[in-house]
Amino acid sequence: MGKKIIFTLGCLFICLYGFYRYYYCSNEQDNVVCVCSWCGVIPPDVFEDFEKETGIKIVYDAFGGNDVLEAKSLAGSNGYDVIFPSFIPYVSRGCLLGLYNKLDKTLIPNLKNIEKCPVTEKWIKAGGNVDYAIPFFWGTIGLIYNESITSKLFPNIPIDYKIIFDLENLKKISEYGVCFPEEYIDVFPQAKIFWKISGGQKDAKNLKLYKEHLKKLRKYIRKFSSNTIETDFELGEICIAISSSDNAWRVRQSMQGEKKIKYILPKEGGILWVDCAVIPVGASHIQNAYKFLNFLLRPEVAARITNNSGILTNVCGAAKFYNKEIKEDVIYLTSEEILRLSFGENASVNKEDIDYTRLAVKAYSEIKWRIEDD
Amino acid sequence: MIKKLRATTVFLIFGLMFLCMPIVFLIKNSFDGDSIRKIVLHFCDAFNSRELIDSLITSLKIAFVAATSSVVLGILAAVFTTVPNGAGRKCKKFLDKMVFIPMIIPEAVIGLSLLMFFIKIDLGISCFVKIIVAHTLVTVAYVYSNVKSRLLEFDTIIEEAAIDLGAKPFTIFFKIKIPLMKRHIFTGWALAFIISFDDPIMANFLSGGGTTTFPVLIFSKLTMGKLPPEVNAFVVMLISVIMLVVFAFFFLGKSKKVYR
Repeated sequence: MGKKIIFTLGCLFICLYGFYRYYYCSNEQDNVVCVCSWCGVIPPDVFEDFEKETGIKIVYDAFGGNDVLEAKSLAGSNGYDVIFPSFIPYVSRGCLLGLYNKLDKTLIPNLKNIEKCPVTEKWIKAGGNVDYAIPFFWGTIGLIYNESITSKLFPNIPIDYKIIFDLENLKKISEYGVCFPEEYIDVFPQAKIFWKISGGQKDAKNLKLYKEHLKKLRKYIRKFSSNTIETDFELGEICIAISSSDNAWRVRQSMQGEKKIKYILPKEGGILWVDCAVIPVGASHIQNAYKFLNFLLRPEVAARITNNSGILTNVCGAAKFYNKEIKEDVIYLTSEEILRLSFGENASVNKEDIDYTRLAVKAYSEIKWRIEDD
Repeated sequence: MIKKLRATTVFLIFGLMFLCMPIVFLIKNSFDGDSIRKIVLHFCDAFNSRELIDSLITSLKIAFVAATSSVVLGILAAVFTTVPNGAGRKCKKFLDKMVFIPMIIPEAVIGLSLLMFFIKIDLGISCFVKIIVAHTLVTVAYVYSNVKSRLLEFDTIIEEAAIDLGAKPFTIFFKIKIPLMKRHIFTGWALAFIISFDDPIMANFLSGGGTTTFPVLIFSKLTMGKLPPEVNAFVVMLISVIMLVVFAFFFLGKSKKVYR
């Protein structure tokens, strides 16, 4: 009889615990703000300072990836109050699908810090929606390479995209490892420039051409990765990669002096990327989220994030507070240099654009997974 | 004889090396540092890192609840399918196969389809419960197979004797079957706990505000480049705790005779 009671009580306890958690998670009285971003981008002391200043506790969640986050946003309330998805194609699509809350600008006075930045201007020109998103993180896409290897293989030619898009050059360097990025948006715009493919930015006909060209190269590409660049360079797994500037900075930081790691932007004009801060629909601590965003937009806070991760922050006046290492690095760009950059493609504005994105993702994954013999 | 022994010893050493190599490398990595001071600092960082400890607690909670609920469901299913007579023979056969399907389907597929399910049918439950549902779905099979194997070799004479003595089915279940299945239930529970604790895939799909589990956190840390040294240090501490528990069981636990 005793065991029966224990069993029943146990079941009851589990049920009650579940309900307790349910109410705990969706409780609006809690003075918290749920932030979801890449792990290790925002240093913990920034969180601690925010908590000390406002008394709002930060619940920090690790970011699993843009696509998963988007799927979760589609599910309605996912418990996050501030998220940082990539601008293209995710934020532009999210704005169309109505996944984000409209920002109340009076509650974020520090927005004035980003209004006049060159990146913001570029972003608005590319179709960024100021009502819903704040362009916060930015960087460029370029080539990271190990100079001690490339100078041996190509003593006479300067390093450029022709090293990896030209079949003969690629064959030469393939045994040292070539890495392509995970998402199509980092490759296709460069391919368009390199092979001088005409037509509009979002022309579905172009996808066929990209596929044709890139399929020939597929055999000589060792990896498709955006995230493991740092370890791969350290282990000598790869010697050249299309990747973002913050990866380049981290590789250089972790391998000081050991090998010559260089980062360049192509002459034709580099590709710019932006990660936006948005408040998803269904966020339960909106007031706290505004306070948190306002806090992040302070120049000295933004600079601390950059100093920690190498990801540039789009806040005017933050450059003053950057470390010497960042300022002297190639990833740091002056405003004139930023003006020469462009986004890989403009934001999606209608259904055709969304269809194009889907086709492009499909085309790129076909390139990734199918190795064809000559 | 000697030759045979040698071969087996070599094989044993090989096997042990195969099992221990990753752990050895992990421990070596966590003690990689320029100076002892730095190494000690990594370990202090691991203790001070709020996200690591928070996510570990979340993971333990989820694993505990998921394992316990899968034990309850698994026992019920196993008892139902092994009762020899009675109605619903086809139903029993069907259940017997269906339980294993979530185990066979790749976790990514289950995660995504559950996410879609929660999109379509908005129950308004928190992400914590969603992850528990997903984990229970998969781990129920492990409990079920464990408990069922015990119930199949169960001597029905005991049950009949109990009935003869006037015991009700409820009493038979709690006073005879549960004590005899104790070990298998515990094994099932432990398996379910470990599987739930280990899983980054379904949790990645279903996690939301405040429910980042430990594996998801490590995964996300990896995507930012190298694994930070404090994570290594933390995992080493976790392993040493587990080792202690295993050794404690090894030395303290005396094997009892299982009554059949």
